[in-house]
Amino acid sequence: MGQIEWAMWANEQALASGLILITGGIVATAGRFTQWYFGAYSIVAGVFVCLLEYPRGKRKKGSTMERWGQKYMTSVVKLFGPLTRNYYVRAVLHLLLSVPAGFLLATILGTACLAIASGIYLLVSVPPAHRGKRTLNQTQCVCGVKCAVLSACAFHVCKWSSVSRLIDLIPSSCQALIWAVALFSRGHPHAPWL
Amino acid sequence: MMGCWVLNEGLSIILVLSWLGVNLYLFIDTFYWYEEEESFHYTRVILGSTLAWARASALCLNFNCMLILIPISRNLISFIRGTSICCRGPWRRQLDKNLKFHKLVAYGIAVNATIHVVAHFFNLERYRWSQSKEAQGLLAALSKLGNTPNESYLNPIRTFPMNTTTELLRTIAGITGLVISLALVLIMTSSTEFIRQASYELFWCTHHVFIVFFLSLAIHGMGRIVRGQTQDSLSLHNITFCRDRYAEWQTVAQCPVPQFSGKEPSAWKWILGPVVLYACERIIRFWRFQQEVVITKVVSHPSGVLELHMKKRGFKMAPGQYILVQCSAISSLEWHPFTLTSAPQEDFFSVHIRAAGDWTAALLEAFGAEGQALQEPWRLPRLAVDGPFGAALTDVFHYPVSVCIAAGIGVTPFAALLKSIWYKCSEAQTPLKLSKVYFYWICRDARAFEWFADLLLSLETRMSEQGKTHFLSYHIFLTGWDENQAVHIALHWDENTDVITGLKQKTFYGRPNWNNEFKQIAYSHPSSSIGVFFCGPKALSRTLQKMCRLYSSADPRGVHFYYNKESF
Repeated sequence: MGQIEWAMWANEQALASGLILITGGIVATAGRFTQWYFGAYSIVAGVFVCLLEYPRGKRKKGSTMERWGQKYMTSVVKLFGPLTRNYYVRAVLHLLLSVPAGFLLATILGTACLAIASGIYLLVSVPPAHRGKRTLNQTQCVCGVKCAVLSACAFHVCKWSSVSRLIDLIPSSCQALIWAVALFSRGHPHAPWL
Repeated sequence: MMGCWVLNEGLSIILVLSWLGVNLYLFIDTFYWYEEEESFHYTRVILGSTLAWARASALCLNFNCMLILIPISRNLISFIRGTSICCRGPWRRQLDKNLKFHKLVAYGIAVNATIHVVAHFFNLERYRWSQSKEAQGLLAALSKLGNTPNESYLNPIRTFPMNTTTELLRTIAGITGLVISLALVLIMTSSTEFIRQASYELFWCTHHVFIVFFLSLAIHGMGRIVRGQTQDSLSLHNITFCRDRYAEWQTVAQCPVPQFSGKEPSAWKWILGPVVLYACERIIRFWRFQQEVVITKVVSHPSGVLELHMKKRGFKMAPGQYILVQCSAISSLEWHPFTLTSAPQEDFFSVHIRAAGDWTAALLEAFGAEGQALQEPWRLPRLAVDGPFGAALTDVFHYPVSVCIAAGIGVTPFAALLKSIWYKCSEAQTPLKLSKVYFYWICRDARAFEWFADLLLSLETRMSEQGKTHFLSYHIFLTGWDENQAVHIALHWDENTDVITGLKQKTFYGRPNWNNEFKQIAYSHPSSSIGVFFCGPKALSRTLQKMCRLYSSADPRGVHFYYNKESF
C-alpha cells in the first residue's frame, strides 16, 4: 500500500473525532455527570479540532474536492503558518488534546478516535526517504515507547486530578506538556536542543 | 409528469419508507414495552426512561446489522437477478441500488448507535450514583440488593466507584461496546466518497474491520447487565403494594425480596443468518480464487490501457457484468472490480484496465505495458477472478429502443454490449425485441478513443454488410480540444470519414444538448418504452434522470423513458 494518501484519512478521522468529542461533551455537561468539567473541556477541544480539520488539504496529485464553505476557515488556519501545515505538529497536538477527555466516560470514544487520527498523522509525517520497511517498524516502536511514556505521565496527572481545585492541575499539566514536546521532538530536524 | 416520476422512482421510495417504517415500529414498540413492562419497574426506578431508549435503539441496531450484509452478498443478488420469474422491470432495477441501500442501512446503524451509546452513558452514571451515600429510599434499597447470599442483584455496579470509565472497562458489554463503536467510526471515516476515490485500497482494507465489529456484537450482551425481575418473583412480589414498603421486604411475607435476572443476549440470533450467508460468499470467492485463469492475449494500448483476454472453465457472462480481479504478486488481499468488455458469444472474456492508482499501475507494469520488452507467457503473474456479477446492462435487450450513454472510461460496459448486439444481429434465427440502439459517448481526450474506435469501425462495416445500418446510431462528443485540433478538424471537415476516429459518423465537439437529443428520440419513437442506460459521473446522471422524467409522456400509451444507472 505504497502511496495511499494517509493524510486524507487522518483528516476525515480527526474531523469525526472532533464531532464525537463535542457530542460526548454535551452529554456529560448537560447530564451533569461526575467530573463534568472534562465534558466542557471536551466541547471546546472538539470545536477546535473540527475548525482545524475542516479545510481539506490539497492532494499531492490529482484534484481535491473542497468541503462546502471551507474557504472561510482556510484563511484562519493559514494564519498559524507552519504550526498547522506540519503533520507532525498536528499529530502531537491531537494526542495532547485527546488525553484530558479520556478521564470521562462520555468522551472516551472521542479520545480513542482522536488518538488514532494522531497516529495516522504521525505515520504520514515520517519522511518518505526513511520510510523503508525496517525503518518504519523501528520508528513505530520508538513512537510506541514515547506514547507509552506520555500515557504514564498522563496517568500521573490523572492521579493528581482527584484534587479539589482545578487550578492545582495546571502545574502537572504543564509538566506533561513539556515531557510531550521533549519526547516527540528528539531527533526531529526542527527540534530545539533540550 | 408527476405520474411518470412516481412510476420510475416509486418503488425505491416505497422500499425506503418500508425500511424506515419497520425501524420506527421496532423502536416505538420496544420503547413502550420497556416503559410499561412490570418486570422492569424497579430497573426504571434507578434508570428512568433511558433504559427504554437504550433497549429500543438496541433492537433497531440488531435489525440494521442483520440487513447490512445482505446487499453486498453479490452472488445472492446475481442469483435473484437471474431468476426471472418475479424479478422483471422495476424490481430488477431495485437490485441495482444495492450499494445505496447498504449505505442507507449504515446511516441507520450510526444514528441508532449514537442513541444507544448516549443512553447507556446516562444509565451507567445513574447506576453509579445510586450506589453513592446520597442515594436514599427505594433507590438505595434496590442498589443494596445482592449483597446478601440469597439475593440476586439489580445494580451491576456493586460499590461506589471513583470513575465510571473503570466500571465500563470491567464489563464485557463495556469493552465490546467501545470496540464496536471504534470499529464503526473507522469504517465510516474511511468510506467517504472522497477516500473511496482517492484510495480504494484504504477503503477496502479498513472496511474489513467489520469482522471485529460482528464478533464483538455477538458477545456484547453476554454480561447480561440489563436486568429485570424474574416471572417467579413477580408472581410472589406485588409491585404496586410493595414498592413503598422497601424497608419491610425482608420481614413482611407479602413482599419477599425481588429476584432479578439478566436478559439473555439476542444480537447473535439476528446476525447469524447474514453472517453465514456472507461467509458463504467469501468461501465462493476463495473457491474461485483456486480456479485457474489462463491469459490468452495481452494488448497494451498507447493510451495507458491494458487489455487482457482470459479463459476460465465454466465461466459464463452477460454484457454489462463485472468481475473482481486479484493478483497475488501485487497484493494477496485486494480484489478490484472491472467491467467485462467481451461479448458472451466469444470464447474468451476480456477486461480493459486503465492505470488509475497503485494497484492498477503495478498491474500494468507486471504485464509489460510500460514499454518494456515482450513478456514471456510463463512470466506473467497469476490472476484470480471472481464473478461475474450482474449489473444494469443485461436489461438492454428487454426494451424495443435503448439509449446508451457513456462518459469517458464509462464506455467499457457498452463495449461488451455493442459486441453482443452485433453477434445477436448475425444470428438470423432469433428475432430481437430490440430494434434500435442509440449510443452516445462523451469523451474529453481524443487519445482515449483509439481502442474503442476499432470496435466501432468493425461494427460499422459489419452492420452495413448485413444491411442493418440503421440499427445502431452512435454519436461521439469530444469535450476537450485545443486550437490545433480544431484547425485540423476544420480542414478535413468535408471528407467522408471522420478525421479523429476514421468512422463514417462525424464526431461532435462540445457537450451534447440533451433536450434536443431526447426530443428527437421521443419524436422518432412515439409509443415505445425506451430504456436509458448510463455509466459515468453523478452530475450527468442527474441531468439524464431529469431528461427522462421530462420527456416521458403522461399518457400510458405514449413514449416512456426508463432510467438505469451503472454503479459498483
